[in-house]
Amino acid sequence: MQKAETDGVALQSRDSKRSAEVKEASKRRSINHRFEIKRVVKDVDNFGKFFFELDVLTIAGTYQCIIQKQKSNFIKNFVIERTSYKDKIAREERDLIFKYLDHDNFGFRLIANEGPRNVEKTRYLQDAFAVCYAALYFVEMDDNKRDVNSIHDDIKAGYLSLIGRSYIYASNDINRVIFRYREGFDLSEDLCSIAASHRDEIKALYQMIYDELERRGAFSSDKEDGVTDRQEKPKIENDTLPQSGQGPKKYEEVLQKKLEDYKLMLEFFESQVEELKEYNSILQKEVENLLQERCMLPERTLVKLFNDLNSEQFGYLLDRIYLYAKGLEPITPDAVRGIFTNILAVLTLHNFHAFLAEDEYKKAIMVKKEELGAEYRCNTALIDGRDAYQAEVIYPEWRYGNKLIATKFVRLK
Amino acid sequence: MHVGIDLGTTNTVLAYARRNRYGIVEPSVVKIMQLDEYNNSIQEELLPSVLFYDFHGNIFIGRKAKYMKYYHPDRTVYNSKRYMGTSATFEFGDKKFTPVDVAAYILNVCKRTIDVYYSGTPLEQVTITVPASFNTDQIRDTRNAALKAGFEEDKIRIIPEPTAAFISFVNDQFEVLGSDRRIDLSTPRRVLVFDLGGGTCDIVVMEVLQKDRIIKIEELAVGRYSELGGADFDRYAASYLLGKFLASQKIDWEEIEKSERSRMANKLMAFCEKAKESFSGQMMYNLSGMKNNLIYTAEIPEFWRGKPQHFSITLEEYDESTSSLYYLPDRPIRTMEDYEKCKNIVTPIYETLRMYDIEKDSIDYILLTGGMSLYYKIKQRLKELFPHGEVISIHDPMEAVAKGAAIFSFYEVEIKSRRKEAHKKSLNPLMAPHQDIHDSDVEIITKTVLAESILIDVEEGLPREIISKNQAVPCKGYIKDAFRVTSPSGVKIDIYAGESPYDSKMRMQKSHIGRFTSPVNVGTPLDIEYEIDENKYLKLRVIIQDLHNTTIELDVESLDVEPNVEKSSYQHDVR
Repeated sequence: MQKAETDGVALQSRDSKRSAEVKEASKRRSINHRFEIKRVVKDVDNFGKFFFELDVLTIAGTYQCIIQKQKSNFIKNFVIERTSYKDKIAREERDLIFKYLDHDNFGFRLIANEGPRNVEKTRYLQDAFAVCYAALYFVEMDDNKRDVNSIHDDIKAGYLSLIGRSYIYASNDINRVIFRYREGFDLSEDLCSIAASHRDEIKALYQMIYDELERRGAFSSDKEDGVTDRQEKPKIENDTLPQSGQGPKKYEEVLQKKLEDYKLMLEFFESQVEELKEYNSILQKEVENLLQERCMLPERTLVKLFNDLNSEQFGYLLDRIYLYAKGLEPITPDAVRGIFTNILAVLTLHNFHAFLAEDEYKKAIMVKKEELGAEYRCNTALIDGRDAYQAEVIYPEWRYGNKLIATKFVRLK
Repeated sequence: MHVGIDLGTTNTVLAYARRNRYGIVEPSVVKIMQLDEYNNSIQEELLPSVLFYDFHGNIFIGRKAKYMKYYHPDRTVYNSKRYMGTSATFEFGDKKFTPVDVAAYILNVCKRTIDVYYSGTPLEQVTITVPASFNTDQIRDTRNAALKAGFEEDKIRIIPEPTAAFISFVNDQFEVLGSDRRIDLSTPRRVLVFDLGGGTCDIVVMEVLQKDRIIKIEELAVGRYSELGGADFDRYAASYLLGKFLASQKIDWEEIEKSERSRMANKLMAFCEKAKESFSGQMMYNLSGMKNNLIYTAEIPEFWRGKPQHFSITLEEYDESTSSLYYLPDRPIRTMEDYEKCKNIVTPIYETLRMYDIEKDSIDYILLTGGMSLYYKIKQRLKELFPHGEVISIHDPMEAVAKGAAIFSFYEVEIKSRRKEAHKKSLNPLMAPHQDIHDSDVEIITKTVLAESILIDVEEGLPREIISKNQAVPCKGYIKDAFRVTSPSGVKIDIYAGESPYDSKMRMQKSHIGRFTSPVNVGTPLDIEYEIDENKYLKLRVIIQDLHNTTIELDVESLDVEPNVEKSSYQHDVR
């Protein structure tokens, strides 16, 4: 009993440690960048094609970096400058894509280690290999009008036959890649053309990783030769189960491992949901602030206009107008002129401008009927059917900044 | 929290920087809490740098104080930044304020705003900006004001305003795609930052290079303190209008009482400031087709003998009356009086380039900042002056400095410390990339130089240069046998700032008195040890070659010199 309790504690401790590791890992990733890109980047017609292109360019850039011994920073510019979506990516979107390239992509470690040979974790190479495999699939695809499902099945089956089904992450790896591009499988011609333009780099990097995986004995003995053998139907769901003849204990172990993987994935997605909630609440707060600001804006503008009109510098215009309007103070022509001049001065400072040249005032002009309302304001509605009218300009045109807010006013004769 | 404060002569702006949800470092201006004219609590982007001391002993900072300036100018302090580094005081009855006190109250309002809005978020660093031409005493006073305001000593950083404005501009540029960038820093570039504010003109020439994500900003030259700004333009235009008014009314200026003159002049200056504002607005909206017709008209109440007066000024008249401010004088400047009369925007630029042997044509970009730089003709003139350089205006000159300071705080604290941590964790960062550092992060390396030489005088003779003007900081040094003791009881040391001992524009900063603990023989040699930190904070130690006395720290005790501030100097006088 005591032992069971101790084991329980140990198990719990191991679980909580694992959980902490997952949380830490997800924190480091901090965000699902693909999800963010899909949410934020607006002008992408097909995200499957978009991510495929990013990955192909990453392969090409990674290969060039390794060959030319460039630093990893090179790859981001390489990708962003060559993507066909370059002109559609806004400035803030670009940084998000950089983050995707840094966090969710595979080029960095290959470049940092100057090729696959020095990469410590085979698991990482296997991950990169799945991406290269999918790219190579489209390089070598002869009939580019296949339907979506057959492309899906072909890639998966071909990959599994190559890498071996007993490798437990094989299915996950290739499923992840397929899921990423699947939306673009409808445009297989485009994908083929993207892949073809970097054919040599894809083949070369594929071969490099392949050789290294082979050297490490990473391909299971059950793998079949050739990438071209894509016809075999995958054994979905059962692909990681032990072959016949192995005992139930082995079977349980595999199931246990699979269960753990699902738990990990679940935790990862849960943490992402939490993060998205967090983003959402930040956005909500920003929206609230902006709304509050927007509500305050008319008040602030009006109070400023009031203060300017009633400032000492312009002669307390509103105070005086109040007195004149109430008849508390007799008004003089000079006072009227001063008040009007300063009201206009204040309006000018608030970007309201009136335009009427002196020689234009009371100038006789001919106004066509279609110009009334469109080009000129006027004192009366049209009652007869004339095409043109004799008129004189009496009031100015008004603009707020450079926006026309009132046309010139004419009096019809 | 990473904060930047533009402690301005007229207004103070507060900003903070944070990483937004896309990982980009984003500065935001914080609205500062203050009281309005009628004691309503408000939050505004600008805090007028004005202090009002009321009749009950209360101190007001900001808009309320600015409003009260009109009614009680004798209980209000404004433009006090101009007196930083001096021993001037502002006295209201038994209450005395030094420029440091005033700055401390202003900074304290900023600090309280941060405390109220962001309580619980620890303050990582506050970067306060000062004119690039500020000397070590002015910088020391600014730092002391920040300490008095309650900021922690090791979290205060001081950087030049033009550098901050440039950082803000570059930060904006990072968010722009390569083809849209207005500045290319892939090779070393020379940038002249021309900061023309309300009352001062600040010039810095810097060499800038961006290598990967590191931006190196190296000051090559710093212009001298120059009191030239928007107010001078308004004064010139006001002078023109006043002349016109006096001629039309056949009034003899000399016959008008001094207080009346000053009042008339101030009203005309305010009129011209509004006219400039109106012209700027209309030119900005590209109503240039109407350039020749632009006119500003207003009636100035109670202008002359209690009666209102109608005034008009056209854009052409405004530009014509201020034209001398755009060109070198046609006669040589020999005296300080000449210098005051012949102010212009070209002299400080040429003087700075000449002092540091910089070719005019080697300037790649001219970055305009400061409120007055918004006026269309400033940009036009600088384009003429620098035909080979590209003139760029900062779109938010009122906020750029504070924002740049906040960005600087962010990078200085966050990135540097994280890089250090990452470096500690792994000797080979490539093998184990540190996830906390975003690859979009920029490291800003600044290298600054002294604007003027520091000179010292103990014998009332010709001051002796101890630190030369283009000395890179931080630095320290030791001068053996710098001086000899002239009095057995102590030593009086005056510190000056200037181009050389023969400089006609040399200014005395502070006068320090060090008292010996026991008498020292006249003629005993004195050594000087100096140290200037990255904030240009100067520490001087005088070491006496005597058995009984050891050192005197000159950054501790200072003797007040005669205040050179008079109340009348607050008033603008156009004639």
